[in-house]
Amino acid sequence: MHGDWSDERLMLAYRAGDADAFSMLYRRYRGSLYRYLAQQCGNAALADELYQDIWIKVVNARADYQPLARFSTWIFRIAHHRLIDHHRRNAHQVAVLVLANDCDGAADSGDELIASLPAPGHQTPHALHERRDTAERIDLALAELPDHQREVFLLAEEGGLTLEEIAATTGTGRETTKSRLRYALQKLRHSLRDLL
Amino acid sequence: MTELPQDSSSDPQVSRLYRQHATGEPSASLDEQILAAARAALADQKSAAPAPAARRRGWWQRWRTPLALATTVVLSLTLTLVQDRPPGDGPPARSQPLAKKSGDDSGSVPSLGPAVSPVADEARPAAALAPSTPTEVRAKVAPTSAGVSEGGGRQQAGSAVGPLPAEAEASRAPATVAAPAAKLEGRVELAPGGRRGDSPASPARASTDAGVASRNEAPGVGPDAAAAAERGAVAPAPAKAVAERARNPAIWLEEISALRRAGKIDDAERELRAFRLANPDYPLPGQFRQ
Repeated sequence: MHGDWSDERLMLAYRAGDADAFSMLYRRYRGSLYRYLAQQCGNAALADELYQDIWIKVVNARADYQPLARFSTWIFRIAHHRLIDHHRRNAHQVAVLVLANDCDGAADSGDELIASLPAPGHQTPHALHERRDTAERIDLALAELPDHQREVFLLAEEGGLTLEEIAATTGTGRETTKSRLRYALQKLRHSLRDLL
Repeated sequence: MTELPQDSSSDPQVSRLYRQHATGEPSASLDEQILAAARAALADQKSAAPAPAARRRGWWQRWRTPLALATTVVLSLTLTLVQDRPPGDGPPARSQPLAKKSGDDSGSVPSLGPAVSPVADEARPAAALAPSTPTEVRAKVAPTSAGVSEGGGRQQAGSAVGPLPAEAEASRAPATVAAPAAKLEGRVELAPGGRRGDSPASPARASTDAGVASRNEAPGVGPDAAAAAERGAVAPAPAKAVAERARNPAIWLEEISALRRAGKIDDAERELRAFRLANPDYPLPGQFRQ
């Protein structure tokens, strides 16, 4: 019944008291949202925590939901802000994010600094030796991307957002978003060139 | 291997490779927790759903008291305006002061209203049972006519007869006398002289006895004097009319018959004319038709 409904209609139906609408909506976004978080924070336990918090926020914000934009934009914006909150609680990463935000006009210049940060433990070269399938290669390539570039790429691939929607979600300009996405694609292509 | 254009914001090959090998999903337990939380939120929402109905009930409860007060005020004002008429404007406004006046002035007409009924009702059966004679009337009337023209005399007559109820008086007097006496008392209460009665206890009877005596049998006092006494009786014309209306026709006719039998033809004629004016439709007995 709800299969052909749009995301916005499902959310409105859930706001009106239709629990099945929320189930459908959840099934549509459970994988993409989780992968977005998992790739962004690099920690499964933390990804679970953030993932649950985001959906609880969706549930609690149902009364104020207005279909002014696509549901995907709305929920990934919530996820983005939740990640920002998480990073702010960790001084080291907060400093990195603030530095990156201040350098939005010259985003590319900050990419080198972000790229110089160590990758998550399970994505070190030592772990890479243990995982030889393509998925691991992709994960490693994503992990090697700067945060802003990876985020833009994940929002485009997992959320299906346009450049404008990504710019609105991340609070940056369209050209900055486009530039980040271009650099992310170039690096991924370079890292995964033998798989393409 | 194809190179990505420098200004391109999408790479279909990279996107396809990523989507084919992207892994990672939340655990089933996490899914259950989130879906349970969503359902619980809806359950809480449904439990709070009666709030609108409560608000509707609250509206009525909130406005019920002001509406009731407003209605009460409007009704009170309406009743006040309806009843707030100038004196003499309607029967209720006039009857109330008259009834109040009867307690103060026994000669006033309103005292006739309540006082007439018991006495007249008492006299009616007596008149039916015992025909009166002139001597009997005199026997009853003469002692009370001693002080006709004086207020003290009226009081004396009142003190002699007034306080006693008609039954007690009738029991003391012979039956043949008691009946006309009761009849006379019942009628005389309505007589003009009765309007000036003084005794609060039995003002009607005291004044009535005096009035009857003055008209009937006062020694040295003729019919003219009795008429003058009647004329001297200060009574407003409406009160007199009310007294005439309130007079019992049967008792009145009985009095006229008594006057005729007593030889007071002029008085009887005058009373008969007054009777006809007051009761134009009352069927006169045969003795009054000639």
